[in-house]
Amino acid sequence: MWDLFTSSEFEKRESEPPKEPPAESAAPSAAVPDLFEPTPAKKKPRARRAASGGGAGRAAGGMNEARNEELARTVAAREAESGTRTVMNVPAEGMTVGEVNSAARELIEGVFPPLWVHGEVANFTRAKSGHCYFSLRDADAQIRCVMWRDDARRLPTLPEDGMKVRALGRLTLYEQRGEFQLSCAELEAKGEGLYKLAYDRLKARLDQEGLTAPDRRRPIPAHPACVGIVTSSAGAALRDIVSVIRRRAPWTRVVLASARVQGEGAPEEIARAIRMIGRAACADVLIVGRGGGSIEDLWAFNEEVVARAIAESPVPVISAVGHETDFTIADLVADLRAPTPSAAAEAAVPDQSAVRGRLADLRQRLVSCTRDRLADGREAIFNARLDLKAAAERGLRARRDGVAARAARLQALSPLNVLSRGYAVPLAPDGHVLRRAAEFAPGAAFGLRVADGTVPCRVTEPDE
Amino acid sequence: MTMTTHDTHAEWTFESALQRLAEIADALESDGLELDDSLQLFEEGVRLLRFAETVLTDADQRLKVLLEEAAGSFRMDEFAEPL
Repeated sequence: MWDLFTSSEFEKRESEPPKEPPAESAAPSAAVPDLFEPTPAKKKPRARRAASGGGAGRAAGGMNEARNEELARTVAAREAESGTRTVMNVPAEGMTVGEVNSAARELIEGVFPPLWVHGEVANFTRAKSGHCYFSLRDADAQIRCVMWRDDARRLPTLPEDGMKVRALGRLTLYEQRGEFQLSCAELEAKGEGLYKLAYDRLKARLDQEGLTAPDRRRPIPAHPACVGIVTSSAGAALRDIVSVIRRRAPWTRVVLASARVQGEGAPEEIARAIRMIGRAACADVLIVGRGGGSIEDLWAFNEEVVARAIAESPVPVISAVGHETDFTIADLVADLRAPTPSAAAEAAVPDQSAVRGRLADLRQRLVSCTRDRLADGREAIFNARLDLKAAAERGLRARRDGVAARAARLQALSPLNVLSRGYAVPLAPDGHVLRRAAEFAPGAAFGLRVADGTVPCRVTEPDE
Repeated sequence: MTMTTHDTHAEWTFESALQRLAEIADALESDGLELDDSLQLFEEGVRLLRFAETVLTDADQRLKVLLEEAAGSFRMDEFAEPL
């Protein structure tokens, strides 16, 4: 097919970066007529193609990436196998616009292998459909580019105008407009460009929403009964985490919500697994992460869906992505960043010797202060008993003293005291005191009460 | 100080048991508790200690994998340890 392109214009361009085999220039004059003469040319180009297919392998284009050569080789080989391209027959009356564009498209697509094109991005726009349109340009040239939705979706973020990028694509012609364009499958910025840009853009958005604020971070429970893990069920990270937990706190339950951690769909799977752990409400702390890898491998943890799932998790999250030196968006929104999956496990569960020590300490405190308290109680009872006894004795003595005093007073008032001084009291036989002379009838008997007894008496007759 | 006692162990977790134990120890060490109350706290503390020690001996845990069933319900399956 290379023989179709022999116009001097094309030759000139192509020879600047000598990417195609010199076989082409070997017989340009033979090829030109092929284009315009409806001669039986089917055999000839096919043979040529086979030859140039080998020639593609020899191309040592200094300007092209090794990858370009590879692609060119495979494309050339593939087309050499199936080679059914025919040379165009141009009818005498000319061609319609559609025919020309269609033929031109076939030629362009047939001739150029997929190639990397370096340039600066201009006028990048993404349509509602998800397809992206832009230009690549350098100082004095530009080329229209398109990137279809499915390819654009794999970009970490959309490039900014002015960014230096390289795009891998196929040249084609958009027939409806007769526009020459590069249909890009991949787009890479220089260095970490697009990744860095994507990271910065998402971080700025999350910062603004406050999702990365340090005061949002919740404490990690010291003694979780159950640790949730979101990672790949086949990865080294899971093995590391589980073995650390087994060693440090073997009583801890461990629940895995598995998710692919790299490749297409990984961010969504990780986010879904995080939400599932939250909804199942089975874990006290959640480790989200994976082992080390390239920036592309770790990229899922820089995606917005993952960041939001972590930020919304009802369970505190420890992020553990890659190695110490890898920082991801997941780390920014997690409640704790662990440098590695093993470190995450160490942060999630306590060491059993520490726990046993703590329990022993609590037991000691409990027992000793209760013992002290009981001893205090016993002493209090002893003292109370002493107090009681003293009080009883005091009471008894007071009572005794009271009785004696009262007795003394009674003594002082007693009539017996008067009698002892020589007074006597006459008492009628019925016991009442005889106070008047009239009460003493002659001959009547009465008693005379003196100090030490009663003397029987009788009133004498007046005559006697 | 008001110290309510919880006696329903079903709702204890290792973490909350340890926390409660620390509270109890603090309370017992402080003055101003009736002997009655402190004995009650001591008994509660002993039960919590026993509970916590049982948890520690329960070391035969298996790794489970959480799966979501259709109706938003969940299932735990045994998962072969990746060792």
